[in-house]
Amino acid sequence: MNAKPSKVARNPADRQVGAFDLPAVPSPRVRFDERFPTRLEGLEARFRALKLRSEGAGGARLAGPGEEFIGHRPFREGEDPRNLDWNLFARFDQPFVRVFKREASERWAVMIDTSASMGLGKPGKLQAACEVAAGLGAIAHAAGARLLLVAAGASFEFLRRTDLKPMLRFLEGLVAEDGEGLGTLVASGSTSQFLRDTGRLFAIGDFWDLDAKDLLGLAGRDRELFLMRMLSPEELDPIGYLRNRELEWPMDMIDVEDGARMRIGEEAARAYEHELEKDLERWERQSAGHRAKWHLATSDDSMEATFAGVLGL
Amino acid sequence: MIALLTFAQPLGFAALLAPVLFLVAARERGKAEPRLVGSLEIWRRVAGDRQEANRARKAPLTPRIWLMALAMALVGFALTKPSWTTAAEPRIWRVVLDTAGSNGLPARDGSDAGPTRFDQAVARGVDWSRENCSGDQVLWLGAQAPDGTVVVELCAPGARPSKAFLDRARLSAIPRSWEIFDAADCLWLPTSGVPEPPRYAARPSLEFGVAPGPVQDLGGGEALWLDAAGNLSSDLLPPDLPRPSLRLLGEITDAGTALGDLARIWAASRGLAITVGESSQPGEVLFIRSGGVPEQGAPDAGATLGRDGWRARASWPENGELVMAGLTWLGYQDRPLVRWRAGAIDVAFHQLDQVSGDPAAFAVSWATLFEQAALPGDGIVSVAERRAASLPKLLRGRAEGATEVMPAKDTPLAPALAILAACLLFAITFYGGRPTG
Repeated sequence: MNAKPSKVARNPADRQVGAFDLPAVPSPRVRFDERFPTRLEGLEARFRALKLRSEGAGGARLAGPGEEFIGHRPFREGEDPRNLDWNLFARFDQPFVRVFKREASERWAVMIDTSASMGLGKPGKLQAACEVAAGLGAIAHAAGARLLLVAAGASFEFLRRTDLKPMLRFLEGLVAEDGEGLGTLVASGSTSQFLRDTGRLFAIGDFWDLDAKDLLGLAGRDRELFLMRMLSPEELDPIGYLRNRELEWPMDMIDVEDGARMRIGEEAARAYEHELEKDLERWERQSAGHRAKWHLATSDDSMEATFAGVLGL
Repeated sequence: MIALLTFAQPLGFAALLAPVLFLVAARERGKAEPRLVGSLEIWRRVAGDRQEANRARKAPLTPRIWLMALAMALVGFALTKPSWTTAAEPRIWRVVLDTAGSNGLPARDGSDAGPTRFDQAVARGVDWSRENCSGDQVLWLGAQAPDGTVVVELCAPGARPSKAFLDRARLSAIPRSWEIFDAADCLWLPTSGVPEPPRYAARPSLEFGVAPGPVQDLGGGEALWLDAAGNLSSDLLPPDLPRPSLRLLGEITDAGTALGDLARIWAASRGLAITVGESSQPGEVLFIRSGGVPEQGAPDAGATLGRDGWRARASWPENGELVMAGLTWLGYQDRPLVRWRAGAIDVAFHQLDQVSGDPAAFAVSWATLFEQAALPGDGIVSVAERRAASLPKLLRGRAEGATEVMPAKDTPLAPALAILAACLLFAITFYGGRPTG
């Protein structure tokens, strides 16, 4: 099932909240250059190579339940203990997990945050998120899985190689806009429709409009959850970012979602960085508690670097 | 030398407001430096009171901003077209008034400057100083009657000297010696003929025309007159003029002394009245003063003096010479015995013996001195002064030719300022790091 983007891109400069104009976000749109399909092919090739190396002996982290049994490999710390082969453990006194061949019918789903805040950063966070989503499409194809891309109000299903270009066009149709975040998507309840058959769920966004528990509730017994938080360098390290650009504190911080404004001095910025670090640690800790995979990326990370962090590619 | 910063376009100073406005704007800019963030949740959590503290804070002015403002100020300063001017020190120009009796003669046209030649000469001098002496000072020089004492007044260029100064200066009746004022910083204001035009001094054009009137007292109430056509004829003196007189003071001018008798004979031949004593009288043409009683213990000198065989005895105070102004007519061992100036004769000796030589030679010698020193008398102005005060040609003098005055030297500063500003902007651009925003 392929779905065209239902969102009509409009001029991000026309953003308004109530009677007040909101500042235009710098990078609301997504554009893939002509080299990007080649990069996807490279990513797919690396995944196939890793898969070949790991089958039977080591693990691609994307291997999991619901597949044809093909052998065993040693258990690695952090893995789901339900995959342990208890018979082998009793026989050899060493933990082994069962390795399965992926079933063609398995489906992965990628939820993409398209809130206005995803338009921040250069390149924008939405651009980086969509590149990762496209990369997941390539990997899913290599893994023999179907991939469903879901953004607020739109979805696209990647079934076969010929769907690559339409998938990129779908992603290019996404725009970082107000009220289109993952929080809206989760709160709408529409996730229940596509989660039913989803073996792996990827959530990509800045998660500013979410509590960890909102997303972690989407993990299930037969569904792996990957949380990929995408922040801009300025959000992650405002002091260093502004120092490099010779900007002076204080700054007026404007919330792109509602236009709220705060005067922030350097002292408060230091406190922010400390608080953000604690906040990210809490997300990571809670993700581990729900056996969800957690990865923090910045919008200026390349797609390849992100996958190297997530999948070890 | 004086160095001055001058500005060809003073309106360019208005451009200096630009860096001020720039600094103010840069200061205020901090209040509106917006940064977009995905959420203010954490900011709100950590800012708290700090936000309020920051609200009133203005953005600091970085060195980069100061450099940009400095560059703007340099450009603004360059717009005024400044130049470094070096010129000579302020000078004192000398305006030399005539001292002859022609000062009081009526001017031909009688313009607003005043009825007399003196009034018009002064007006012309004021105009000249205004046009030529900007930034300097003007020293007006005159001489007052009866003894030709020099009077001066320092004025600003274009300013008229005080009335008190002019009243004193206009009353002199002594022919001016112009040559000693033939210098590049002088202006001559003759009201009578000048024997030779100046070589260095300036002289404005003055044209007074012939002033008819008595030119010589013939005695007995008669005088020689110059008419408007320039002809001379004998006629009576004006009845309102005081009778000319000779004033005598001192023992050796008393009646019965050789000098006193000679003075009286000379006065009678000139039709002069004789007055005795220190108080001067109107119409006095000559004052003869002898040395009086010698001081006790003063050195005494007696010798055969002069070329006529007469003897005299003189004494001088211990502490110096007699106070005698004028030219020395007779001296003894480097000390003056007789001095004269226009209208006065000072005699230092207190005793004059009887003449042992030729009495005629004695009389002619002294009478020549009397004639030389005698003033023409009120209303009597020489033919030369009545005729010649017509100077149509303006002589500028070398003062305006500026060969002696160092010319002002201008060094334009605008190009240097512009280059400096460009260097600053280049440095800001080159080393200023990444663009803001």
